[in-house]
Amino acid sequence: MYSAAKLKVPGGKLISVKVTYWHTIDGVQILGDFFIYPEESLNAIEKSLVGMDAKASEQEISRHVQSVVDRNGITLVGLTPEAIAQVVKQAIKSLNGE
Amino acid sequence: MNMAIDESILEHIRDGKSEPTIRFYRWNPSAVSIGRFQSMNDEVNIGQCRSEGIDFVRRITGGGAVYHDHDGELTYSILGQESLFPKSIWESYRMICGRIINGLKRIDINAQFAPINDILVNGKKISGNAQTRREGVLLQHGTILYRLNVAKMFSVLNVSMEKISDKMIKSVEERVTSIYSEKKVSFQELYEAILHGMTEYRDHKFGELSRSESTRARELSKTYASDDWNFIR
Repeated sequence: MYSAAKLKVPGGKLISVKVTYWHTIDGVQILGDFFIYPEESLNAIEKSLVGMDAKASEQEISRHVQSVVDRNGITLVGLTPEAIAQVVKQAIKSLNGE
Repeated sequence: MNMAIDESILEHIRDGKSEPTIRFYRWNPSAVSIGRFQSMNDEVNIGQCRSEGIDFVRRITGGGAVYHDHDGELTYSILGQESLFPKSIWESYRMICGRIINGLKRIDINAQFAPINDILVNGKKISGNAQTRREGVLLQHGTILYRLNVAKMFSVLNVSMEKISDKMIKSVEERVTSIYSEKKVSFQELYEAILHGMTEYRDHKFGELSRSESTRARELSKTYASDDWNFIR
């Protein structure tokens, strides 16, 4: 299944995600006008989400992204792990009709 | 070519072959640039750009899509070793934007820094900025709106048709302003004011691209013209 969602981070930037998933997340693309340093690390965040249970809670996704950020010394500007989790979950929910 | 020139200078500074550089330029032809993490197809009306001869390119800096009208804006790039700037990304935006704001004072425009990366006049955006740091070098792209052409901007950026209404255009004009709306100064006066703001109390000299910078820029321009780069997202 494929789904997309957008979110304006309060005080931050616009994030949109495109998610393909079935029981697990098969692919995620995170797009928007935010900043990430180093830039290449967005790929690490996206790849790290692949394989996660599509039913993972927003908190679980957020904690997972936060751990990738911490482990790789990533600086997020205009977006947060919580916002990424929120919009990923929003995309999955929108297709499930939740 | 503009993005290729910036990356070439960045590499030369990294290698100790070039001095910190401030570059002022205009886009000819007019162009749309998108941020590093945006989708070209989502953000840009490619068909309209092609039919109007407007370029489109992905920047190496983050941030949003910008329509660079040849007659409507002054663009700048600031490049130097990271050690010359505050370590905090937020503070470095504040520092560099502060220099733009000082420059605008010279033409009697009172502007304010609006974190993360904008400059406002009377609450309306007049300048956007986008920064990257790589291999010890900071690059900040920025643009100052000289004249605003909202209809043109909407024709090349992907705004849904229902949003291209008088109300939408009015809404943009309520949130965005331009130098010429604020003060009837010439483009040259704007350039001189910003140049002064950027260089005041700093040793500087005027120059052209070195042969090596130009050669590398020509090589890099192939990447910036490629679909592999521009449509990577």
